[in-house]
Amino acid sequence: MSPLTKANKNASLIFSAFGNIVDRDRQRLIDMGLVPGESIKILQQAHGCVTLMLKGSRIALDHKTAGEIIVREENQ
Amino acid sequence: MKHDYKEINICLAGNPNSGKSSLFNNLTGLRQHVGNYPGVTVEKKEGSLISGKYKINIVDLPGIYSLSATSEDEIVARNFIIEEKPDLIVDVIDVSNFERNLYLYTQLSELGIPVILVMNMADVLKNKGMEIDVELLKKEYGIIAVATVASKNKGTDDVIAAVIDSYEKKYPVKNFKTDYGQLISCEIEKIESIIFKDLLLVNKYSARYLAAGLLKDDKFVFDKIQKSPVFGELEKQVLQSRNIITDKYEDSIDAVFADRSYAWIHSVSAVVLKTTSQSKYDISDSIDKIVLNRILALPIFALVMYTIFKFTFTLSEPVVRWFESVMEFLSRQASGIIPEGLIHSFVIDGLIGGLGGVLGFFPLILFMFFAIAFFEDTGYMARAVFIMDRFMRKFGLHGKSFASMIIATNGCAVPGLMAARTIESEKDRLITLMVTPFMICGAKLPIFALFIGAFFSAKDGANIMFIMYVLSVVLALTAAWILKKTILKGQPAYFIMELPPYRMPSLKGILLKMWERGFMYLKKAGTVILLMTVVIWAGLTFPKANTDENMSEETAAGIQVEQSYIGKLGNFIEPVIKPIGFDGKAGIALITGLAAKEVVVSTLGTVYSLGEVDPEDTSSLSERLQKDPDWNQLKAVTFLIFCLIYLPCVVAVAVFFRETGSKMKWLVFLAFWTTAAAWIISLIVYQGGKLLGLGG
Repeated sequence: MSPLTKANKNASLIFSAFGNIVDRDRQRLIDMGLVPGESIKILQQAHGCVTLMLKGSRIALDHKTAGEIIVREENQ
Repeated sequence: MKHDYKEINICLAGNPNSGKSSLFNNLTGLRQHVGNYPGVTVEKKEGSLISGKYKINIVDLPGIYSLSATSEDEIVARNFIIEEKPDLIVDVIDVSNFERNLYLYTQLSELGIPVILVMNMADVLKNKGMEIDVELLKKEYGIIAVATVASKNKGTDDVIAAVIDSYEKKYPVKNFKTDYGQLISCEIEKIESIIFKDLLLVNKYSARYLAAGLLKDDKFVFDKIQKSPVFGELEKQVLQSRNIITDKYEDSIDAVFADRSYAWIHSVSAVVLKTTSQSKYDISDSIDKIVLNRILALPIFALVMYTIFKFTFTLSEPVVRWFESVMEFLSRQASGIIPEGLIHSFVIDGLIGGLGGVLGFFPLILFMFFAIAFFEDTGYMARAVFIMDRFMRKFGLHGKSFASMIIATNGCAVPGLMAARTIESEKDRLITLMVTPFMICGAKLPIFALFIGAFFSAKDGANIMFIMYVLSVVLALTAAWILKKTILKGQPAYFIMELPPYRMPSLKGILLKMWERGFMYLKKAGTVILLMTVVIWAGLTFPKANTDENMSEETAAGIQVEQSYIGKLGNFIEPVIKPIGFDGKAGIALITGLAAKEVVVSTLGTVYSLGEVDPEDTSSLSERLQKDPDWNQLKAVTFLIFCLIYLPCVVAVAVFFRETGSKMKWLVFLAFWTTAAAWIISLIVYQGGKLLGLGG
């Protein structure tokens, strides 16, 4: 398992858990469909910021938020 | 003729970018208006339509992802739905993103208010090679659903028909419940059974919504039951139920609820969504590969900003000139009709002069709003905010703060301040509001043009102008950094933002957005500026000075200004501004500049005995300033720096007051902080310059 910022960009990823993230932002991500077991795909990574595909939507995250999203590769 | 319509009150809810506003525009046409929700700065878009014997009143709510609202606009949307209880909720979803959008429906449908599901963007779904079985959705799940393509005005009549039929209860009513699984459903029922003991509560709110909210520790729901006689019993049960759920699922309750809701949504999606053909290529990802590229992102962003400014300032010029000529024509006509005297002066200098100033600026604002609306509707603006977030974060600002600052630069601080509404964190929003007035808005440009033209060569002038732009940005960022380290301490909020797919914007949508924003500007700015212009006119006109009939008009005007209330005020503040190199004349201009920054130039024109001066035509005033031994290059630069930093114009101050929740302490702080910063920095520049032998 690794934070999104260190995940393999080309791998199929599964969301596992949140790290240290404030309730408001955790709630926002949950509402957007980021629940454990959900597949996500990294679209782009630049300077630590990440854009990802989640439930058919493109979500942009800053470096800090992306670092608090723990994922695993699908085949793990 | 009086009509007895049956009134149906509905609201449009839905995720951001689901096409709610397009549907609202299709439903209401021009029968819409924008106001404000009481006590907050969030815009309230309302409209109506007549269909047969029905009058449908529609409120377009801000976009929300769920009823667990976080930002100010989301709270407003949630409160409206829960407290105002419309007859019907129209939940507009982007059907091409069916699962994510249906999440809100699972919550809305438990409120005890009929919900119509409008599946918008059916064309986009088709391009993805998919189709939705609307009839199956109705039959299997009892969901009242309508398919639309709001961007092409398709399906609007079906929405109206569904609203009327639903209101008249022509659909079989099914008590819709999201399937959270046996365990959670059982715990919800236990809590519901206690809530049902309080009839007053049940009459007001849906018991299921309250029960789910209590389990999710929703503060808004807890506030609703605080005074209930069953509060103690409820609290005990909720605690027990929570323990049972977390023991079973080993996760936070809200995550469990979301997980169960999405599991149900996924099962619905598997039944009603059908793959019909090969998915068409989605261009958004390819565009993003270029637009968000680590090397190309900033140059592309700079090019877009340049395009917006070029479009605004170049294309608006003929319209601005036309407006000016209309105002001149009005002025001439009024001059011919009204005899010389106080009323003449009031109408020509006060009313037409003031109104002309506002209208002269209005086309430029409309052009800028058009350009910004275009890039917003294409989906690029969301990317621009994301691109700038990393840079802004270094100074304690949020990516969304950038939008405010860029709108204020060369444009106007008023829409810049209003753009800060989308920032969720109150501290980040406050900092943005505090620093946005430092940008060089369009109204400050004539002052810069006047002084740079008067005291510097063309080559040096360009450098000074560039330095001023750099200084405004440095000041804003430094001020943000100081505020973040002192009174508004804290880390900038996380950046989480949905990037909409790229779309071809519709002209109608852009024009409506432009007009909506422009009209608000016109209404607010027009009234305040007009009032202030009249106040300044009175301040410069009274008390009447004793002037000789043999005096030239210009000399008499100069004496009148000197002896007027504002003139006396200028002399009064002279001791304060003397250390920064200014005299009473400059003081008068700075005071009147509080009404609108362009007024600094016209006031100096009057003070320098030139009578009325066109802010655009500053050549003659320029020569006077040059010849005045009281002015030199150092004083000119100091004056520009002071004008750059000191308290923004009265319209911007009024908007700032509103946007900070009408809290006097922030208004006082703004006044003190900008003026003190202006005075201290000007003092350093002026006295430092003198020590270095500059400005001799």
